[in-house]
Amino acid sequence: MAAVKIKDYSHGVMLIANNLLSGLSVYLNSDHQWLLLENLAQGKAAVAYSEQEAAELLASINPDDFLCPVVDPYIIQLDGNGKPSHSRELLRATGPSIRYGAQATQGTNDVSI
Amino acid sequence: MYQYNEVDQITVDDRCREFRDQVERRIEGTLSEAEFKPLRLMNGLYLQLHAYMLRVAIPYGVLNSIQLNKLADISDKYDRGYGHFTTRQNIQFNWPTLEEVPDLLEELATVQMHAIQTSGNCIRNITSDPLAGVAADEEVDPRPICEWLRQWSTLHPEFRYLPRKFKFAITGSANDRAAIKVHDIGLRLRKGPNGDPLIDLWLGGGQGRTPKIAQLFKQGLTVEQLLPYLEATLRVYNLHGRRDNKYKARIKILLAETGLEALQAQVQEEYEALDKSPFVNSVAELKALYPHFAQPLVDVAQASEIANVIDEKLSGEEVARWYKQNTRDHKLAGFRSVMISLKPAGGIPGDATSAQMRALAAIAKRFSRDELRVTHRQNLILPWVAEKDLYAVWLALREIDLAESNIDLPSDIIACPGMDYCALATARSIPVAQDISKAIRKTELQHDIGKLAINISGCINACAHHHVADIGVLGLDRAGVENYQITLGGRSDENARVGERMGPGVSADELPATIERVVKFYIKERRDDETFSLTYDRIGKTEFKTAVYGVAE
Ligand code: SF4
Repeated sequence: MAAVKIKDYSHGVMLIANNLLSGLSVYLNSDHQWLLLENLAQGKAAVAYSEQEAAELLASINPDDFLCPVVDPYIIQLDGNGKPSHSRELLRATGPSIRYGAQATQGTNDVSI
Repeated sequence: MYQYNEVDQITVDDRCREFRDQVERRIEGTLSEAEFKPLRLMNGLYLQLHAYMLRVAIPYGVLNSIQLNKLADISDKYDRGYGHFTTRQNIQFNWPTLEEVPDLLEELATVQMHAIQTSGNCIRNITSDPLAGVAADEEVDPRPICEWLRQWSTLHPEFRYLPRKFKFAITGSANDRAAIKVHDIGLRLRKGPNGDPLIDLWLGGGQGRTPKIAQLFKQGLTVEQLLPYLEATLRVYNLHGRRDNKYKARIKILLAETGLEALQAQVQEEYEALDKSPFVNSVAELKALYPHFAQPLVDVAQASEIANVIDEKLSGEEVARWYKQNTRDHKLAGFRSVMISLKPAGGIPGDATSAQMRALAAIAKRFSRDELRVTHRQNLILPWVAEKDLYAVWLALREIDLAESNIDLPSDIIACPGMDYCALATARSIPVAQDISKAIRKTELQHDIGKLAINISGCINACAHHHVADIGVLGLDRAGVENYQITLGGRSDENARVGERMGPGVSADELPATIERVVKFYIKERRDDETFSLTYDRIGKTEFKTAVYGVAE
């Protein structure tokens, strides 16, 4: 998974990964727990504000430990609102941008050929 | 269709057990992620943006109702109630958990399916003409050879770590519906003497960042020669294909760097030196496969007699349009193949819900000799529908919103999962496909436009075959913003060629209007029934480029 190079630490950076068991995208909170974004209480994300702090944060989760509960952790940059600043990471945080499964075509039947 | 023998079933069951053990060891922490990743990939399990994704092989795109019902059950039990059919005739599940994948694979094995070799640097699922065995224009039914090669390539010990993935496509018709010229090896089967086919081998096609059209590498192979010749070809590739740079590792690059004649000579030399003794029974094995694909015995007179009576019902405007657009001539009198569009208005190209899968399984069982096909354009086919049943099939498909009459029309868009799912993506493909399809449906009667392929890939890997579409769209990332590059004039058929890239990309917002301008320009300029690529050739890139950027308007 390609992490985008961090250019700006002024709004902070956070850690994202996939949960090993579920595969779902999870974020590290300040209590060192990996949570789905919706379970991450406001202001509770573990945020670093410099390259060194970010490296320490990444090291603190022991990513190479066989028992690490997540896979492919990396650092993402935040914007002024505390959201991922890159479109890919925002999409990752919010899930597919389309309705899928049984919801996919709902509300679109007004379009005819 | 082919039914597993004991060896097939044991192979798949063993693999299930082996992978269950590997997953358990990963979860217990005795395998590292670095050790586990190649193992899960060998079993088709990817880690994507939001979750794991499991790619299940559908050999040469053939499915029966039991299998489709199982896929429906799996999508409910282990996923979120849907599956995604891909351009390689596979199906992908987007939300399985690691813990449950071993159970999922065991369930799949009970219906003779698996995810082996759907990833990794090995010979991938062999794809074919989705109308194999039923197309009116077919010279040779490719299914027995497909199955033969499936068996040969499955867990072939020598070819499990090739320099890069390796894709085969096979057709037995002059009208190529399998895009054989954009595969590592494309086989074109022709009628030979004494009933056996002769095989032309096309080599070195491919898409991705260096799109290439395959070259005719060896003409007129006999069935006796085919397996040893393929073995020699793969062996030369395995030895000389580049492993230092994954972008240069496909056989198309080896062909380009070595040159056609030199590579032919190397393969010939390898072929001549090859020990042929392992192949002494292979032709007998091929012949033993033919009965699995025998034509059904039908009472033709009765079928077409009833067809004449029922035909009147097919004259209603909506059903007549569906008949024209979504059914195809058949080898057998009194039958047609029914194409099912997985591109309904506002839908996601290639997606089907579990409810749709179950209904389709029931329709296939009742009306299509229990068989379905997956197409590389991400649609499905009922290959054996008697004309007398067409009206009933149309009604049944309409019930499940799958009677959209847009096969091969501009809204029949190929789109890869793109950044909504795929970890490699540089932009989204699905929402832009939906927007383009809406724009096209609104502004033009697409039935008047006729055949036109719009293919959208979410990155340069080109899974949606954008290089070989009439209108290809490639999603890129320009400083964090999605940007879409247009190529025009590509073809994936027997006259395959790579489209030409227009200028700078356009934004997602501009894209539907851009495509609309190109389509309108084509309609204005074309002569009679001229196809897009012929019009493109006649008018030229400069004029079409003007249409792309709307300068003349
Ligand atoms: S083309 Fe790229 S984005 Fe689309 S499925 Fe393939 S790898 Fe993923």
